[in-house]
Amino acid sequence: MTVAATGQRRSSGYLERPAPSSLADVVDTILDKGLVIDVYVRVSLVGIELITIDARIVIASVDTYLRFAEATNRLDLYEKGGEDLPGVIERVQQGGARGKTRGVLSGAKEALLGRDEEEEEPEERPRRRPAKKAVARRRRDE
Amino acid sequence: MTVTASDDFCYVYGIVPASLELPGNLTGLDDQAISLVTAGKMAAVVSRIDSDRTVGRRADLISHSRVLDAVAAAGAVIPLRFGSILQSQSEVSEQVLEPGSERFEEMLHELAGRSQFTVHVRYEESQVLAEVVAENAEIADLRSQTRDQSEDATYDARVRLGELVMHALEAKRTIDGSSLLDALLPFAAGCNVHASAGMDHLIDVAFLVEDKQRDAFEAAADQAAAELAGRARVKLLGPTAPYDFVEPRSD
Repeated sequence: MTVAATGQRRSSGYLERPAPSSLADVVDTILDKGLVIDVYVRVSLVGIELITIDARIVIASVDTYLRFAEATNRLDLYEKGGEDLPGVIERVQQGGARGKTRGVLSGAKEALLGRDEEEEEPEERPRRRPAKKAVARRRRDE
Repeated sequence: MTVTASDDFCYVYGIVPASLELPGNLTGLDDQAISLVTAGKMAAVVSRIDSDRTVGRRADLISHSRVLDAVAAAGAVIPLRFGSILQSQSEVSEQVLEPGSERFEEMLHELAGRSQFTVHVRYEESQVLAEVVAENAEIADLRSQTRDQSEDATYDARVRLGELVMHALEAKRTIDGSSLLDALLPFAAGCNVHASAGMDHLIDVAFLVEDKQRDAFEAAADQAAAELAGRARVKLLGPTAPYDFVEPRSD
């Protein structure tokens, strides 16, 4: 690991500073934010507000638990290949595990908005994976 | 821009002091020119928009934030909610600027010389799950019980495992999230922690930062990222308009 020398505007290199912001960042930053004035002629949104709300909810459901269990079981720890925890930690610190650790559950938002930030308007079909299923499942379980 | 077709509405981005000088060549939704509608000491940043236009596309969101961030770089601005559209410029002055003038002035006074930085922190998922397994014997047991078994045979154990892992992650989040806040809050004038989800979520939080504290804040964020390296990734967005710091007061 490189440790930056002290000096003006030094940077550790670990802080990500994306610019310009991706669509996902912009959605996070501006949706549900900003002053509301009460004289709107209309606030015409194509379901985007609903999308972020969906993405933010973690429902304590059987579905959710199973996803966490699956991710935990998918880990390659001691049993397989004889690697112990310090080994895993070292590997992660070296950044080797980075690519494959994304994506296990990178958040509903990515799924909803699509991963390609540059892609233009998905023609009113942004809700690829609504959270409905989880909600429905929870109701059944109650 | 002298387009005055009767079916033009007015998209409003935010409210600024009337004395603000707009950055040059700024365009907004649909590449429309940005202008100011002024009433007394207050002005609204607007562009024209077709009356039958529905907003909410990717490009609209990006235009909205791009305009506000550019304006924020020039001076204090109160961002309006995305999608704020009024029928005409006179409606903007008569129904927004004039009645709200006093309150806007106060808000702008508070926002002057400050901008927003937003910090997103995500765990390295395999690392944090490895920690959870190593730190909790029951989780480790359940994991070895369920790991190479069929899903049906171990359904209950899997549900229990997932529940324990989720709670263990929540506990980690609380600890790691508060140490991040402790590290950054000394350099901020305010903060707003966002609700969020996802297994790898650690914390998302917006900070209002004084211009003169900006270097110290950025250095602290950099330091926090270095300390979390290997366990979590830290992303810093900003400076942006103060989207999180214009909560309407209930009066």
